[in-house]
Amino acid sequence: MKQYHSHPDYFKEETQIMKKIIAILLAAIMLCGLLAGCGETTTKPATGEDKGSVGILMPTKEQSIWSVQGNRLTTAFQEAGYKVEIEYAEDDPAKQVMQIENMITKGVRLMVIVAVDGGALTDACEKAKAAGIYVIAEDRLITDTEAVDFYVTFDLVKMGELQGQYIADQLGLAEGKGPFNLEIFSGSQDDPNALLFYDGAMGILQQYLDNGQLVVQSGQQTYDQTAIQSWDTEKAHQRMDNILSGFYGDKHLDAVLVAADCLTMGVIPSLESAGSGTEANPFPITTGQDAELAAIHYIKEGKQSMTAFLDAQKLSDILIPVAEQLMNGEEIKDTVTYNNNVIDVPAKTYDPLLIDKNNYNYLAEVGFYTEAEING
Amino acid sequence: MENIKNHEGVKVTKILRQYSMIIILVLIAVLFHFLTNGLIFTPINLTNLILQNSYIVLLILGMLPVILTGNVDLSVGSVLAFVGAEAAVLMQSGLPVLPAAIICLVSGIAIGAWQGFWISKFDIPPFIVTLSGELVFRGLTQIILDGKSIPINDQGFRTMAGGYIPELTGSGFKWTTMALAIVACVIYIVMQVRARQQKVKNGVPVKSVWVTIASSVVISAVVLYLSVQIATANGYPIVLFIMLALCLLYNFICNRTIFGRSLYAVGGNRKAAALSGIKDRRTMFLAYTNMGMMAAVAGLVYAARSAVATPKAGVGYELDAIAACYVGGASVHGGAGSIAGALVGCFVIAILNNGMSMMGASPDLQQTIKGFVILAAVAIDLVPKTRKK
Repeated sequence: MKQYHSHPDYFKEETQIMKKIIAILLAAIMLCGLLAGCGETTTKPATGEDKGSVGILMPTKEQSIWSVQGNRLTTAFQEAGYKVEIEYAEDDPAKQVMQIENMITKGVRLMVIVAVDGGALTDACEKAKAAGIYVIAEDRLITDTEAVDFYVTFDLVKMGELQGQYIADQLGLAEGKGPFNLEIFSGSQDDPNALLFYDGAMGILQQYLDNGQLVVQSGQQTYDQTAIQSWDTEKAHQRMDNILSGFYGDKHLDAVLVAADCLTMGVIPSLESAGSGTEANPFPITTGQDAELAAIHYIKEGKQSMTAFLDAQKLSDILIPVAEQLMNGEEIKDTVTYNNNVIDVPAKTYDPLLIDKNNYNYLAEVGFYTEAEING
Repeated sequence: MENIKNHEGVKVTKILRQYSMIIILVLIAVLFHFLTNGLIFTPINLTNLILQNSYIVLLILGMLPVILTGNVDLSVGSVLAFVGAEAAVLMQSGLPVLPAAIICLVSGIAIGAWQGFWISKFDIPPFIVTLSGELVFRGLTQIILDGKSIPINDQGFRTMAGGYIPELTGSGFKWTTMALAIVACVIYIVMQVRARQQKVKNGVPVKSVWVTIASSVVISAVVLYLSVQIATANGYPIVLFIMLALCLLYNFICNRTIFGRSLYAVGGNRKAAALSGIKDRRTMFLAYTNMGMMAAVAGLVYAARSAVATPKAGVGYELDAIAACYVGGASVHGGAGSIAGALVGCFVIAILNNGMSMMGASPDLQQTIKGFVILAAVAIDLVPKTRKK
């Protein structure tokens, strides 16, 4: 056998295999290191008492709103004495289902879920229910199942109303001023919330469109005509380019109802390249939501008029007591209901916060952005 | 040698077949001209068409060489986003535009070389390597941006993608633009004539002199007409020159250099190419390195245009670039295709997008129609050719 081993060819082959194994092991260790580094699991309880763990499932880290909410809820639950497991699903419904199933295996007591696709979690939530886990849907309703215990959301229609009312106030529509030119940018048709924003805003503005105080020069004013696929910034940019070149050669655009900042971020550069921002041709009033960093800079520079912010503090003030009451089996008072096609889900809402040039520094105060990010 | 004629006969069907995609482009343009009541050919909209597709054209210049080898690159959308994010973060940290742009370009080349390395050295399927790249660089983009949208405020940088060439005469009508257009037409005609003379001299068969004249006149007329329109608006966008210079350069590379011809040979039959002494691995490596670089150029232009770096930038752009190449006559199996064709393909899709947006068609309808038209356009192009075989 010794001779066998010392044979140069066999020896060479064996070292090569060893090399490969070592390489694979090294790679595996590296990966583990990486994963441990980026791991989202926080398991240190703030108090000695063991209240069990809760799971937080967020849709994506790509939008800062979810990472800030995730952090805020994590801290709030930890302060209340729970261990927290948190996952982000990269906007992939299948990944989120997997993450929910993993949470069930880990044995959390309650899950707070911001669904990637509210219709795709039926099975996963029913598994959770069967395992005795409470499910709170946050901001996006989980539909087509009775396995959702509660819904905490910002008021979607009110968000649209906030945007519509802002335009009405700024233009002085209630005092009968006008006519003004308006264009509309709605959200993605595959996102049911987008329609509610549109309806909310139109609830305020429709009367002024009807009496001619507002005019949509492009004629594109239905939800379908104004929708932007996938909330895509570049598509909004192109549509604004096209509308300005097609319909505003000799007219001034006074206001743009934009559903969210990711669209306003396309609308503003388009307006700039068409020459807006001068004394003779000031920026139109523009709306938004989500308080994206670029939007805050636009607001600071006077290019965008307003955005709306889902204050994570307001959210956690409502959500944490609801979660505790659910787990303690207490009755939750003052609820409204949302129908999810199967049951009326009890719900509580919190109001979005209007952000404009007067109060954008609030975002630094609550730690949504740093001072340097906003004013740097 | 009798069967080499000095003049090839002018057959209408043959010309139709050869230029079918250009004819489709013209038909679609005319169709939307009527559907939008002429909005599509307004001066500003023509400028918009250039600006809105600048980054796709730049991606095509990287994608076509890759497609010529018979492969695709799935990572370009993510690389574009990554480079944009890099640029925004570097500039936010106070670095001037030029060094920031150079760092971005170098990192684009490095990304391309990284992918090319795995593809050429270890024969890992490009699909897998670039799929990996798509995930890696989307992830890194999110890490760099930390989920935020970072604004880009530098006006000089933004001018690159949204600015126009300065007007020297200072008048409302952009005479500088017109002068450039006329110079371009003259150069084009001179080059046509010289190329023809060269062919005649070398005894290569040429088309009838009337075809040369007709094509020169038509192309010059189109260029001049579009330029007059653009000159009544803001004049030529700066990015147009970046695009044109690079398009001409890549057209030259693909047709006239060893690397370019190697692309066709490797895509046509890699084994035969390797046996005849072409460095197939090096060709693959360079094709992907070039793709990385062009994705970086496109990323910079895109970031400059949108004035913001977002984690979601560029999602699906690899498919836009690939589609433009295929619509423009490139072969899925490699070995066939041209820069000019891919540009035509790009603008077929561009006019479709632009026209439907002008009409106010809803996005779901737009996607459906776009899907059918792309299939129909390529079918009209390919079905007669397949039948002939």
